[in-house]
Amino acid sequence: MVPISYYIMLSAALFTLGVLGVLIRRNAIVVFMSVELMLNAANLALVAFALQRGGIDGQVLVFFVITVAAAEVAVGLALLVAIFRNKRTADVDEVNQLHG
Amino acid sequence: MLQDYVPILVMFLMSLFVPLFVITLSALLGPRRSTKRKLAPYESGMDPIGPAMRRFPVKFYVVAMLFILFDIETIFFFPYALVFRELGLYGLGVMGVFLVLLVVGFVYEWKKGALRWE
Amino acid sequence: MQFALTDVPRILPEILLLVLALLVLGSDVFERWANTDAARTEQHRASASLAALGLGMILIIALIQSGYVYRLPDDAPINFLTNIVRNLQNGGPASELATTPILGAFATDDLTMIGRLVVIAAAFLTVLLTYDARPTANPGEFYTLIIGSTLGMCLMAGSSELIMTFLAIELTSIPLYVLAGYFRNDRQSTEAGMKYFLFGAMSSGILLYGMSLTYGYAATAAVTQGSTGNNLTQFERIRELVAQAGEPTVLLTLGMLFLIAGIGYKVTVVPFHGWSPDVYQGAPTPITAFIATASKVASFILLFRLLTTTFPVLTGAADVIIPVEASTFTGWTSLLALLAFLTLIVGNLAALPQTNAKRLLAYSSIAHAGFLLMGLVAWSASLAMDREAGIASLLYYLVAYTVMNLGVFGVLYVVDQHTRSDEISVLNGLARRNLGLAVLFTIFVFSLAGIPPLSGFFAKFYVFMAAWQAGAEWLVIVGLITTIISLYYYLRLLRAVFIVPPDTDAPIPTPRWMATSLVLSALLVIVLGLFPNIILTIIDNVQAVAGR
Repeated sequence: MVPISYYIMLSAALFTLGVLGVLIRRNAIVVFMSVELMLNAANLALVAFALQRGGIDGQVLVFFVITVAAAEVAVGLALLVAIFRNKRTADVDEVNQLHG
Repeated sequence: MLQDYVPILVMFLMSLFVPLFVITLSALLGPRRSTKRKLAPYESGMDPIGPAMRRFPVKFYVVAMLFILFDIETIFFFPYALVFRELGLYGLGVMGVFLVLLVVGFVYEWKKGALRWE
Repeated sequence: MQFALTDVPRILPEILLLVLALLVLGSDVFERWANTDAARTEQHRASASLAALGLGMILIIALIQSGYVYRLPDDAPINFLTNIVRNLQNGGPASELATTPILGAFATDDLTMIGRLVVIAAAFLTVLLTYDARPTANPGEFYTLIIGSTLGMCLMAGSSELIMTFLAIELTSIPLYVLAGYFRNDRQSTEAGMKYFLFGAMSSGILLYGMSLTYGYAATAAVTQGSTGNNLTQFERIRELVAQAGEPTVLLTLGMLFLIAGIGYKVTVVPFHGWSPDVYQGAPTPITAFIATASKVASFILLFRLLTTTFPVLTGAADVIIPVEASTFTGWTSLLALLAFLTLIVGNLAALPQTNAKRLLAYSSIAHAGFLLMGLVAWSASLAMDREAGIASLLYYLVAYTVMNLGVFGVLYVVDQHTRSDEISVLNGLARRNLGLAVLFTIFVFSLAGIPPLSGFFAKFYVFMAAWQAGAEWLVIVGLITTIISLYYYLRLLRAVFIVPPDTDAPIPTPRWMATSLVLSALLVIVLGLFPNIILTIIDNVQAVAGR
């Protein structure tokens, strides 16, 4: 069996990549994808811990995370479409009406 | 030992023969009138040749979003299907509530015309 | 452990909220597109009145259930009415059932009840504010989203399990993303929605990662101890496992840090506050009021429950001035003290140069998050009495904060409806254009600034006292200094209202239900300030829960 720590290290790496993606990338869709990566990194850790423990509550949480992430992406895409209609861009740097 | 796998063999054979049968049948019976459109590769109604970075009608996004939502919700039915005997009426009630909520959402999007293509 | 029928009255407010949300949505399903202005207004008002009536009724039911206003005596005569009240109160926080959370996931104690009441009241006042407003597109959806998000906040206040926490936070946030961007054709609104979404999604990612680490710590601890307890995701279960394992490890500390960061986003604590000025400014004003008040209340209650029930091992001390190095990090109170320090400084200083009233109030609301954190910092006190003072001051502050912010944003909304702008300059000469509105505005702003007879003053005073006794004297001094700084920008608002002459003398009308909402908020601000004991006696009930 693969040791749990390997999973955790992979999940930490994925999470870091996700955070970096959110902070660095400018296209809103890519930012969404990075957020998804963060969520899935957490999912991986949850499943790994649940496997180690032989419990199911961690896995159940993963189910909920998957559905919630889908709902979140639907809302995010809808907002993006609305922005695109107004501004014709998906670049988060150009969405800058509000500042001060 | 091997006898346990007989149903799988039967299914394998079935899934081999039924399509073969249907294809042969349609080759023998079907009329063949080729047009340019019919000969083009099938791309779900899209134009198969052209630039890849093209804008899609926004309608696709709406349908895709709705599809994702309802598709993902089925994730809860799979675990339920495994244990529904143990859960009995209680589980049925819980899933009933879940389903009612889904259906309300579905009726709303339907009545508001989110599924209308035109 | 199964859901029993006796659990139904315990979550009756939540069930009713769900039913109301479906009703409001359903009432809108068969409506045709309204083409004329009159038809649109009528459609909007139909949805608004249904939502307002429903929320009002749920608020009353929750009040009866809580038993705070009237507690049915044991020897009351048995008739139809008393039976209803008795059954309701049996599901309330005072009954024996309330000591164990439903399915281990949802506690129905006093803390939840207070959270529920505040959140539902905030939703009610928000809906009243929007009743007379310009009609929105698809009003049914608009109000369903508000009610759905209220439901999420109620669940957040009571959640005592990681799964429930995550779901409640998302149920709260996702409708709020949509609501912030509700005016699809308005660039500012869509931008606010987008920013809120991006930051919110990132914060839930961080929160979830924290959950996975905490869960992981509890899971490994259980294995080494050979314990067979299930439901590791419960807060209390995690605490037990931590206690069994003895020393907290890096994994647990990291998990806690991520959890605090994730919830810190929602309550606009300083390193995580970046989204809030933009979102508050761009979102429709009543939604800004709702986001600023209700979602913060629910998040603070959740933060409190999470930290005190799951991480008592890591409480730490708050008397360290700035615990930057890892060696001086003793627990979450010292971390929160640092965050409170930053929040107070940044929130109050950044508010000074603002020219947009909503943006100014957004920074003011960040600053208030700093004061609220001081209530949590007080948890580091060694005496149980001082800790209880901390939670009481936190809850009192939350209530006061909610009513005064709803009020102040409400006044801005009334002005905005008339002038279509929310710069400070549109407030110019408000006293001459609508004296009543100006007086209400003054009450709210004075309360925000902490001027004596109003509830804002007492809230600040109480929080300072609790933090002082917990040994965070340095933080109280910072709080006092920043309070004085804050007077400057609050008085700038009042200067516009009373001194600067307006461009026109045209009166600003106050529609009836908006006025009702504002007057209700103002009354609460005054009454709670003059007689804080009214709700302090209620808040005292929480101590039994929190002290455990």
